[in-house]
Amino acid sequence: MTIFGMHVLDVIVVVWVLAVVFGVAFAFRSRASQSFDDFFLSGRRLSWWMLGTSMVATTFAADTPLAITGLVHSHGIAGNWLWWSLLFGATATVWFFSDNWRRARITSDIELCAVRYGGFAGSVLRGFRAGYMSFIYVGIILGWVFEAMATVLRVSLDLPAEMQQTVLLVLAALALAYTLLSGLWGVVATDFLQFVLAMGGSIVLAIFAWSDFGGATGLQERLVGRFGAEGADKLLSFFPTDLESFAGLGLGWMVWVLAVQWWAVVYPGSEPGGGSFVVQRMLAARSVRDARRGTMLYVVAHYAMRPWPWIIVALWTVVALDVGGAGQLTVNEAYPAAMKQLLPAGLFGLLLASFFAAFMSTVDTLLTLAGSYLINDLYRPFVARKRSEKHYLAASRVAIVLVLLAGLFVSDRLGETKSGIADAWRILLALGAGSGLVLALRWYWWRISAWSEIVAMIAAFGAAFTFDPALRQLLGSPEWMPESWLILATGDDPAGDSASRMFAIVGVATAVWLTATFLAPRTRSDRLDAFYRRVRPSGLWAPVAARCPDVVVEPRLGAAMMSWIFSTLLVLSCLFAIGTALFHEPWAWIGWAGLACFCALVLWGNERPREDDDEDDDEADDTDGGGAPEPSLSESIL
Amino acid sequence: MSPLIPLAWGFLALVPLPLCALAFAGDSELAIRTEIALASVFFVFAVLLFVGARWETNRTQGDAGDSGEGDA
Repeated sequence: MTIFGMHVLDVIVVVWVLAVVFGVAFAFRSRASQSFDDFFLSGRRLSWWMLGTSMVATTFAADTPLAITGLVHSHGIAGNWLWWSLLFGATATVWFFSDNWRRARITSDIELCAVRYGGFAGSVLRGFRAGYMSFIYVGIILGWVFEAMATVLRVSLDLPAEMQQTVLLVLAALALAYTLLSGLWGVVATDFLQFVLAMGGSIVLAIFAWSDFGGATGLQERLVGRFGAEGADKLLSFFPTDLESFAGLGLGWMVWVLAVQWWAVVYPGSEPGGGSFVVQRMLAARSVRDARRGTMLYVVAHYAMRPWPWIIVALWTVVALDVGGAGQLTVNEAYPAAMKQLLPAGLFGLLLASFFAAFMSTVDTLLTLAGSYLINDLYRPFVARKRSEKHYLAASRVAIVLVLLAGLFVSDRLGETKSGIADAWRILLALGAGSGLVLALRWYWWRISAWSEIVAMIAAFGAAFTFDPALRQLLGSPEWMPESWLILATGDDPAGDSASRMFAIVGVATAVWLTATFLAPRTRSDRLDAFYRRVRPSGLWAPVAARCPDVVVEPRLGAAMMSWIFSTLLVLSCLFAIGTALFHEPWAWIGWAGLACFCALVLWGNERPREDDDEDDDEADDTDGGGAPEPSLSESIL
Repeated sequence: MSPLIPLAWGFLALVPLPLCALAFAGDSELAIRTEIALASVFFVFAVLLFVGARWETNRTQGDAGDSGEGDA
């Protein structure tokens, strides 16, 4: 018996899982109703393992396995370097920025504009960012994950378009309901459950794909049979076999990806120095140490643990499915097609439920994030000041509903054209290309002002508009702008010159915001002093430090640099140790596993207790809500 | 109540799902093994979380006793 193209057992599994997720969130409803901080920051009581898992569950969206499958199809396993390269920025966030974020004791990352800069420019920046992030950013990402989830439903269940929309709306409504009820507590708790489900589901599918191959030997034989020995080696290599053709885009692109992209581009979820949902979890940590360790857990799980099950299934689709052939199966449809072909009843329902879980864990995070921006950074400072906590809690719930409605509207409008969401994504990235460095430096150089950030955004967009013909085509070139301005985007092949174009965008944007930093009015001294006292940042703060001789700043840049290098090596060696174990390469496995152990030991030795590691808001900030801090398992485990 | 308790119940509630699927696994050894493994994973998570919650509760009571709280 089938319902909506599913075996009745699969339907029971999906409904049961959704009920369990909602039930878990429901249990946290009373915790979210006490104060604004309780609702959006879990009362700053999260342990490292909960916040780290929540971060990785959020980035585990419905579109992620589909994207990895696309990369493996196009460029083999090494194609994943396009996103593995962001690891350098992620580990930098752990060691150079997570402590600072937690010490800032703010409610959202955008609030930093008020704490760090203040004044008119700081307010403009804060208000603009809050509106832009709440509606445009969330709308685009919602559109992205809706599209991916619709593909999964279409391919795996053969659902018609109207039915796909209905299922998506039901899932979004469920995520909305438990977010309204339980705030970040509910989001983080369900994220934990959803991550175990999503990861378990993808491992189950990988086991079936692996078994269908007959293990590593079978996989290699089938790849050699289809692509020849050289083609199979290229597909299975962890590193680009030919630097000139790195990811099919050339040496310049490789230099861009490995050496520049991770600090220069503001990519949603991988902002240099941290941002959006990653910072939201850091701010919710119960201590500075929990923020640091939770973010490190996220980096390890995100880069080393998650990819292999997807890569195995992607390789199965390469050899077993006729992607792009006569069957007209597109790359995006390959992963759900594998689900349909490989899994028996019951397990199929569980994997589908794991996709629903991944989808909802992204939606609920976007809702709490945008809701906190709207209330904390727009409504509270500019519209209704000094109201009661009850008032802001009620307003938060209204804002979250508004955010979902606006997000659905934006994603619906973008989805009207075939390339609408991809085009919007391009504009979003254009706004961030070249402005990453200023976000990182604001913690380490007193001279960075609100004007630096404002000019960086405008310059990045202007440079992207000038050098990127696709963006100009999308937005329409003004008549006054001669074609000869298009200095670097010359060839017909967009990939061939894209690296030099990105270098040009970053170079111009950086030069412009650096000039503005020196020419624009400085941040007021009293504001800088207050920020310095609160965060105690390292780096270029000499004039401010001279005014605050009583503030002791721990010299930690050297130790942070060492931890950064070894944690990056640790994650990479864990990633490749798992890969070499899968492909039965014992000597390589010993090498990578040995390197991982060595790096872990160095990190352990380098992790000295810090002055404020266990500092709690109740001790550090009298203005915060109270309640005795709950103990955490973190202390017993680490 | 420890935040671990609802999570533990959540994992415990997931245990029957892969076990029910066993009835449909037929003679597929891989499906049977995978389903039993999944049920075991959910069960182990539930047990760990219950134990963790118990440990937290004991620790809280111990801390309160040490600091003289609750004596009245």
